[in-house]
Amino acid sequence: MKWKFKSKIWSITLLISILTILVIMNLAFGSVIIPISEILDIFFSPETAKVNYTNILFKTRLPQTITAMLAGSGLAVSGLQLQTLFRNPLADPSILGISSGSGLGVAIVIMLTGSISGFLYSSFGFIGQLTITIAAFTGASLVLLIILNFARKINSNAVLLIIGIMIGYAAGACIDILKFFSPKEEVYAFIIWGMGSFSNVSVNQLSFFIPVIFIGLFWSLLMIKPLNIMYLGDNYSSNLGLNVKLTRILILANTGLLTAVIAAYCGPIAFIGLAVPHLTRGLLKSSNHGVLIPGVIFAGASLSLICNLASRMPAFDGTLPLNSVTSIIGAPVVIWVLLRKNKEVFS
Amino acid sequence: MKTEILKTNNLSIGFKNRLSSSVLLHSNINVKMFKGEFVCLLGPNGAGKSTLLKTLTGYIPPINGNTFINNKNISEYSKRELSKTFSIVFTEKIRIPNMTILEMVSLGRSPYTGFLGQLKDNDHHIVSESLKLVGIFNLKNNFLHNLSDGELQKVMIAKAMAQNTPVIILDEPTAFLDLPSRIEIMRLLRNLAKEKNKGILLSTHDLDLALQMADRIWLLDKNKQLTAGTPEDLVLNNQFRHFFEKEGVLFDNESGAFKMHQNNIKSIRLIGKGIEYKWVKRALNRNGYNTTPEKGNYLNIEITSNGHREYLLSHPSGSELRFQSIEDLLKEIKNIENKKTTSHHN
Repeated sequence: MKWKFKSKIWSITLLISILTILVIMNLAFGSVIIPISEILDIFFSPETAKVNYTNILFKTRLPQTITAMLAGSGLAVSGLQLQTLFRNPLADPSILGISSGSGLGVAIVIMLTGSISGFLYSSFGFIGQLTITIAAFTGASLVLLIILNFARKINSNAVLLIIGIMIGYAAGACIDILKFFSPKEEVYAFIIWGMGSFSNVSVNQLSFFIPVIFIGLFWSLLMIKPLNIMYLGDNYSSNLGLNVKLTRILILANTGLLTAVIAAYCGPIAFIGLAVPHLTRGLLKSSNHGVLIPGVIFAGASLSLICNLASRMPAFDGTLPLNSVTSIIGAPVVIWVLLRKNKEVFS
Repeated sequence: MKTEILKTNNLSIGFKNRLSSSVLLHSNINVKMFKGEFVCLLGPNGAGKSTLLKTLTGYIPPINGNTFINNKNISEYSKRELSKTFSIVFTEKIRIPNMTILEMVSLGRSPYTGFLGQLKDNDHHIVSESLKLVGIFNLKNNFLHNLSDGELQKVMIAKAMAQNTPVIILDEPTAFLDLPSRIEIMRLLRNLAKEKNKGILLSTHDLDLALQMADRIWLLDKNKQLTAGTPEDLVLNNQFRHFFEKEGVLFDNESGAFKMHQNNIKSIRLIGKGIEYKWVKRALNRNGYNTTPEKGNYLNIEITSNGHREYLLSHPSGSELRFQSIEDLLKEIKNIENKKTTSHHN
């Protein structure tokens, strides 16, 4: 398709430059500020670099930066695909109940184990972190399977969307019941998980996290043509020879995988998946997924790094809850989108 | 020799619901469409027009019978083949933010493009051709969200042309458009059928436009057998009247339009000719008067044709009045009428 590609290339170059700057800032700023010259030293002449800087960089800053970038990209790509699939500007990865599913998994692990074994979950340490990841992934996958099962049987995207939201409510209600019967330390532990964080992924875990997210991002690049057609709705798509049902399942499976993995490692991160597609459309002035998908990957990574950086404020000492930061940045964006002329939003 | 492109054989349409019982809407439908033919499907709301179109395009399975395109049963077509056989235009308006006309029309090439949807030279050529045929080539870089409903429908027709199918089916493409746009779209479709030798079938409520432009009309109504034919034949054998009969509404075979039933028809003598005569007659008809050239004991209107409009109204008693507009004329006629009624009562 002859899209006006060259002008879009400039915008994407701009996004990549911003991303690079943000990566450096994320590596440099924190409770200890690492000078940029030191960062370059660590990468290019490790023998002269200071050991404590090297440690901070490789043990915390770098994994956190990579996690933030990939999580941001993954959530943004999921949000974009769901907004197109449901032709709804307010769709995002949490709308199908997948995030709630992961939350329920974690709630069961944190709160039920305590009540049954008599130990407080919060005293488990590293094993606990791993169990939480597995629980979150299991919960998210179960909800995803339920949604995919409905997607095979139901023709209407609107009905599917409502089912997703209902599952989200149901999972949320179960979580509330668990909270009600749990000691306050465990409820607190769950609340902390629910605030989201990019700092829980260790270097070892990255070896799983990175490839899975990359598979998801690559998968979304393969969906460019079907997504462009899906814009027209089921009737036109079908008339253009697209297998609508299969496409829908592929999109849902892809976004489900990304959401599940990210929720498992970082908690339920709000707003990035919703806000980034709108920001990117506004910036790139395009509706072509051949442009938008690379666009949201870079913009998602960038916004996520900004939030990560902001969460280390104030004065880079300690951290703010990540979800509060993403929502504070995300909410004005959503309001801006809604206040723009009606025709700019999906009619 | 006309080539047959679409044919149904004892087709029964309806829909199957979940309880495995099926709702039958129409049966024994036997219609044909030829290449280069512009066919209009007419019928009141709820007659089953959409169901028929969906069955013809293979969206809904028929209850019974078969549909053939180019002498091949549509159930034997693969999804991909179908997308190269039919292009469809729906009533729904699609305004995708930030999408240009060119991009939308390019999507019509989807059945032919590869995995990433990249257009080849040939595709670009066909897209440009389609834009030119529909007359929106100059607008090609405009965004869809800035277009009027009529322009948007033209974009969807261009998309259908780009799909390069022998048959184009449109489900009420002119609904919700203003009258000039409706005429424009109908003319455009008729020309496309002729120029490109395509079979074009559309459902519409624009009876008068269909009468003027269709090569063939299919009439559909609840509990009535589908009737097809040349528009004029359908008028002369009273099929039209039969299909659109309703309390207080009558299809006038003479004018090819609907008329309200008027009670208490009064006569008026009208003398004149040409376009003036026609419109004065229309105004009088609307107000419940039957016009006649015969002399009688009633009002008399003479349209003077000496360059400027003037209507001479004379009473059987002999009094005469002159008017420059139909509005004043009608006012005076009403006046006289009122006086008459009051004097009767006295």
